Amino acid sequence: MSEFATNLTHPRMRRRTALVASAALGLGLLSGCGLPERVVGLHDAPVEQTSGAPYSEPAAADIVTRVLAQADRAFASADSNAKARKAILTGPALRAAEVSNRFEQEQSTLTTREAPQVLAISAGRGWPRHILATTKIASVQYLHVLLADGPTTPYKLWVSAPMLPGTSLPALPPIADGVDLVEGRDGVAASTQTVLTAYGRLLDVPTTLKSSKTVADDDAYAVALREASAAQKKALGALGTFTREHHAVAEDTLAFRLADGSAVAFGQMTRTDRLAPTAKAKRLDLPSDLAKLADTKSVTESLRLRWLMTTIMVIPTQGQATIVGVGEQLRGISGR
Amino acid sequence: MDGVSLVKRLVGVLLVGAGLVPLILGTWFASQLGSAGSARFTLPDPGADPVLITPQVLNRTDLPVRIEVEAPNAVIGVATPSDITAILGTATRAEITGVKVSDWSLTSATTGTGAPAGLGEIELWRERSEIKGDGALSVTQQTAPESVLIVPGKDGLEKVTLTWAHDTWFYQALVLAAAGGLLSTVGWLLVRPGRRTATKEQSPHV
Repeated sequence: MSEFATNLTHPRMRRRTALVASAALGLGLLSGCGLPERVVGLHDAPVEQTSGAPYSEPAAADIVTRVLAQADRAFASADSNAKARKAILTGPALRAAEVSNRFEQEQSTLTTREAPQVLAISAGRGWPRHILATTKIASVQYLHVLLADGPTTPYKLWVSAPMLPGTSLPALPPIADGVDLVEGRDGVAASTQTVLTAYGRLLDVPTTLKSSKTVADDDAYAVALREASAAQKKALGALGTFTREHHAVAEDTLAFRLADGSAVAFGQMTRTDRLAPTAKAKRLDLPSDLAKLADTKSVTESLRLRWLMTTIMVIPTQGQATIVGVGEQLRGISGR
Repeated sequence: MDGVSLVKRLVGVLLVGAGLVPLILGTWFASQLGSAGSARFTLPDPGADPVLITPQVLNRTDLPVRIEVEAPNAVIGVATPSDITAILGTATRAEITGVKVSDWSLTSATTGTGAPAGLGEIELWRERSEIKGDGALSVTQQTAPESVLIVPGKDGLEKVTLTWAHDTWFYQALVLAAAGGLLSTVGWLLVRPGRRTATKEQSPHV
C-alpha cells in the first residue's frame, strides 16, 4: 500500500475529506437551486397567434345572445324610436327595421330558449369583425350576422334572415380557425351583386332573363313567387296588369368563405309589385287588408307595393349559385 | 501557525461568508413566501390611469397569476394582447414592467396621453370582473398569451397585487437556508482551533 493510501486512512485526513465533501455538497445544493429563472421557471412569453378567430365559441355565443335580445326590443320599438334601432341594428337589419310599424308582420322573437349556435367568427385581429350564428325560431332556421366596427364598439345585428325549407349550409371552417371574408368574386363563380341582379331578373314579371348560368331559380322561394304571380295575373284577367321588378341593393353585401372554397353570401333586393287597371276596368277595388294598408279602397291608376328582400345565397367556386334563404319585408304601399 | 493551517482557516472564513448569504436569503424568502410559497407583489400608488399587465409579466411562468384589486369601482378584463392594445390606442396607461423582490413591489411605466374612450362597452374580454371595493381574478396559462387591463372608475385604484404561488418555493428557500447553514458550519469548523492540535501543543508541558 502506498504512503498516500496510508494517509487516507488517517482519522485526521478522513475528517478533512468529510469537510471538503460537505462543502462541495453545500455548493452543489446552492447551484442546484439555480438562478432565479430556474427556480421560478421563467421563460419567454408565448407569441400571440393572430390568424385564427379572435374569440372562443362561448364568448361569441354570449355576444350573440346579448345582441339578439336587444335586437328583439329594437324591432318591436315604435316608429319614432329610431335611436333604439340604430343602437343595436346596422346595415341590412337596420334597413329592414326602418319600416312603419303598420307594415311589420307578426314576427316571432329572435331569441330562443336554446343558446344560439355560433357557426363562424371572422379570422384575424382587424376590424370590422363578424360573427355568423344560427337560431331555430318556430321551426325555421335563421342565420344572423353580427358586426363590430372597432375595438370599443359593441356588436350590432347586421342581418337576420330565414333559411328556405329543405336547404342547408355547406360546412364552414372550424370556429377556432376563423372564417375569411370573400371580396367581390375572389375564388367564387360570381360576386354577390351579380347573383342578386341575375336572380331578380329571373323573377321579374314579365321576366327580363329567361335562364341564368349565374344562379339557379328552382328554389322554394322562386317557385312560390312564380305561382303567386301567375295567380295574381289570372285573378286580374283582362281587368288589370301585374308587373314585378327587382333591383339589387348596391350597399351592404357580405360573403364568408366556406370550407370547400365556396361562399355563403348575404345581400338585399328591392321589389316593386305594380297592379294597374286596364282601360276596360278603369278602377281596381282592393281587398280589405290591402285597402287598409294603402289607405284607399280602390285605385284608378295603379297600386304599388314596395318590398325589401334579404337574401342568403351559396356561391360555388364554379357553376350556379343557389338561394338558400329569403326574408321579405313590406316597406310601403301607394295607390291612386 | 503553519501554512496549511493558515490556508485552512482562510478557506473556512470564505465558507462562513459564502454560507451566511444563502442562509440569510433562504430564511428571509421562507418567512416571506410562507408555507404556501406565495409571492405577492404590490403596485405602489396605482392612481387613476388604467393598469395594463402584458404577457411579458403574465405569461413568463407556467403558474396561474392571481390579480387582486382594491378600488371603489373598477373593471378587470382579460383579452388577447392585440385586442387590448387596440382598445387602449394611445391612451394613458400604467404598464406593469416587472417585479422587485427586495420590497415585493411591481414596477411600472406610464405611457400614452389622454383618456381611453368607451371602455365600458368593450365586448372583447375573455373574462371580465367588476370590482366594488375589492375583487380578484385568476389568469391561467392555458389561454396564454393574454393581457389584463384594469380600468378604474372615477375614484381611481387603491391597490393592485399580483400573486404567483408555488409551494416548492418555500421548500427551496428552506434548502437554500440549510445549504447556507451547512457551508457556514463547515467554514466554522475549519476556522476554529482544532482540539487535537491544541492537545498536541499542550503535551510538552504535561
